[in-house]
Amino acid sequence: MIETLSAQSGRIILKDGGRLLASAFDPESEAREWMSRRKEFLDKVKYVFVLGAGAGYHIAELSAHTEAGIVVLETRAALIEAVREIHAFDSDRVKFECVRSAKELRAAAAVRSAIANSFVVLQHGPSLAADPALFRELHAQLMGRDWGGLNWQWQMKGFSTLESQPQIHKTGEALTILDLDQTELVQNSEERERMLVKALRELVK
Amino acid sequence: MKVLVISLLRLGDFVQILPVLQALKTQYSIRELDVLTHHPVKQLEPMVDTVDRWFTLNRDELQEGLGRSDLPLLTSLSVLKEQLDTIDRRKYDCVINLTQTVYSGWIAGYLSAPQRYGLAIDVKGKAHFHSPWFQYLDDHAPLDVPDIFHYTDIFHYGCGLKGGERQWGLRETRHGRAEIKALQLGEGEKIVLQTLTSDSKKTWPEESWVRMLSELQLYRPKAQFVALGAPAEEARVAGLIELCAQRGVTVRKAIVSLEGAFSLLKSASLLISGDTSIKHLANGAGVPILELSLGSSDYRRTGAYKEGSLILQPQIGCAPCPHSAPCSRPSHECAERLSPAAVSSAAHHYISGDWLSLRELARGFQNEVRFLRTRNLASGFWMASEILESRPEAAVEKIVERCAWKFLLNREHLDPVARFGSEGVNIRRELESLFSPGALPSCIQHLNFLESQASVQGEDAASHLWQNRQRPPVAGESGVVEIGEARRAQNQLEREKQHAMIKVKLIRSLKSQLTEAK
Repeated sequence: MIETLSAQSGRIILKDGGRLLASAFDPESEAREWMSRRKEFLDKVKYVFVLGAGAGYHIAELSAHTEAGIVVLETRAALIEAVREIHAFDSDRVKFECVRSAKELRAAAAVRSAIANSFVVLQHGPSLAADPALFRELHAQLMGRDWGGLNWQWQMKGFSTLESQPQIHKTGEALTILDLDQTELVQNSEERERMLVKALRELVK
Repeated sequence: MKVLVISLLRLGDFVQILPVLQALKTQYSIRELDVLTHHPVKQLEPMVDTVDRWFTLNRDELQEGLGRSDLPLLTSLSVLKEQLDTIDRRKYDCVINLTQTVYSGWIAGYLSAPQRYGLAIDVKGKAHFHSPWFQYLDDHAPLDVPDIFHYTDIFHYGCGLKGGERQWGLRETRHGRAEIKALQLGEGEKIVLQTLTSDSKKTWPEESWVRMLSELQLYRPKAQFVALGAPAEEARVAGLIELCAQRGVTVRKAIVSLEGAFSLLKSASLLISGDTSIKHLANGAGVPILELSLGSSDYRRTGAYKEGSLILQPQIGCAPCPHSAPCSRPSHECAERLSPAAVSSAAHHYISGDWLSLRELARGFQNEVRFLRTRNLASGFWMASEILESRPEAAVEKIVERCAWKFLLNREHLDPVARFGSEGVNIRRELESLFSPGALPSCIQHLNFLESQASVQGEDAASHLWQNRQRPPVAGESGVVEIGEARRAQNQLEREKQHAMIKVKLIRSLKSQLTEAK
C-alpha cells in the first residue's frame, strides 16, 4: 500500500508497504546526492533508463542534469500515479512504463524506441527493494552483458545479426567488447558497424 | 570545400598541427574547416580562429563504458556511432587524419568523404595512407630510425601543402590577459618554468629544478621565475616553490588556464620546459624555448618547432624510450645525467643570445649532454643540429638525405623542371651558416663518396626490381599467391631506386654550388 507523508523539509514523500521511498528529512538533497554519483555519458546519450520511480525526486533531479529522454521503469501502476501527483514532469521527455516481467520490458513501446539509441541505466536503490528479483532481471536485459540481452538490443538497433556465441568468457561472465570482437559481424562481415567495434577494441588493448 | 581534420591524441599533438590547419585554410579554398579531436583539446577553441567547428570524442569515457560492468555493453558503441553519424551528415569533401593510430584509422575509415589524406582503414581492414608522406610516417614509426622529419612537416606535406612557412594562428584572449594581470608579475625579465610533464620519464626531478634555479639566480639576479601549472597541478607546483624558498630562490606561481599560459608566454623572456603542450604553445607565442628532452621525448619528431630554439638531451643509449614502457634503467639515468649546472648556464647564455658561449658550454658537457639548435631550413623543413657539430660530413649527409626524401615524397622529381639547382643553393647556404668556409672542401670529398654510394644503391634496386618482375609470383605456405605482398616489395624497390636517383642529382647540384663558391 502506498502512503503519502511530509518530509521535514516540507516536501511530500511516499511510503510503500512501510518502506520509505525517499528521505524523510530532505528528499531533494538526497536526490542531488544520488545524482552526483552518476555522471558518465549523461551529456551524450539519447536516453536514460531509471529503475524505480521512488518518490520522483531523483527523476526531477536527473531531468535537470540531462537533455536525454528519461524512461522510468516501475512494477506497480499505483506508484507511478502517486509520483505523477507529486511532480509535473514533461510527458514528452519523461515516460513511465509499468513492467512486470522481462517480456513486458521488451514489448514496451518507450523501451523499444529508447533501446534503438544510446542509453545508460540508473538504479534507485530504495525502489528496488519492492521486487529485487524482477528489477535484477530488468537491469540485466538493459545492460546487454549477457548473450540474450545483447542480441535483443542489437536487433532493436537495426544492425545485422551477431550470429556467433561469445568465445572469450565462460558462461555466466559479463560480456565485454572482446566478445563482441569475436562475433561473425566483426570477424567476417563488411558491415560499417564492425569498424566502430574495431576502433573501440583499440581502446582496451 | 568542407574539410574535417582528425587529431585524436593529446593537447600538445593538436597544437603541433595548428600550422597545418592554418596552411590548409590559406592554400586551399576551404569554406569550412572542422576538427574532430580528444575532448580536452577543445580548451584551445577561444585561441584558434582557423577552426570553424569543434567535434570532440571523450576517449576516457568511451573506455569507462567498455570496462565497467555497471554500464551497458553497447553504450560506448552507440554513443560513438551517433557522434560519428552526426559528423558524417555534414558531408565533408575531404577527411584528413593527422593522428596515425589504428583507433583513428578506423574512425577515419567510418566517415565518408570523396577525398582523404592520412590513415584510413576500410571495412575490410585494409590500411590506406593517401599520401606517400603518411606511408613514410608509418615506415618510420620505430624509435630507432636513423632520422625522421618533424611531425609538423610530415603532416604539412602529407596534406599536399607547399612551402616552408609555418603560421600558428594562436590568438591571445581577454580572459588570458586578465589571468596574468591578476598575478601582478610586473615588468622585467620573466623566465617561465614548465616543470611537470604528462609522463614521469619526461620529467626532470624537483631537486634538479631547485638547484638549477639557485644557480640561474646568480647569473640573472633581476630575473623573475614563474612556475606555470594547470589547476590540477597546483599542489605539486606549490611544493616546488616551497623547496625553492627554502634555498632562497623566489618563484612565483602561475596556476592558469591555457589562455593564461599563452598570455604569460607572450610576455616572457624564456620558457624552460620538458616535452609538453606548453612547449608547443610557446612556438606560437614568440618566446625563446629551452627544451629538456628526457625519457620518451623524441625531439626529432616533436621538438620545439621554432627557429633558434635550444634543446638539451642527455647522452644516453636508451633515449628516446618507448612511451608506454616503464624506464628500463635502475634509476632515471637520463634525468640524472642532465646536470643543473648545464641547464642554468645554458639558460643564461641562451637568453643573452650568446651562441659562442653556448658552444663552449656544449664542449664542456659533451660527454653528458647534447646541445641542439633548431632551424627552419630554406629547403622547407625543420631540423635540430648539434651546435658542437664539428664534422660537416655528418650534417651534409643528413640534409641531402632529407632533401631527397622531400623530393621523392612530394613527387617533385617527376616535375620536368624539378628544382634540383635551387635545392643545391639552399643546401649550400645552410652549410655556410653552419660551418666556416674552410670546412666545406671536406664536404665535397664526402659528397663524392655519397654520390658513388647512392649510384650503387640505385643500380642494386633497379637490378632487384628487374629480377622481381621476371620472376613468377610464388605461392605462400597456404598455397595462395600473395599478390599484395609482391606488389609492396616492388613498390619498396621502386622507391629505393628513385630515392637514390634523386640523391645523385641533388649531390651533383650541391657539388657544383660548392665548387663555384670556392
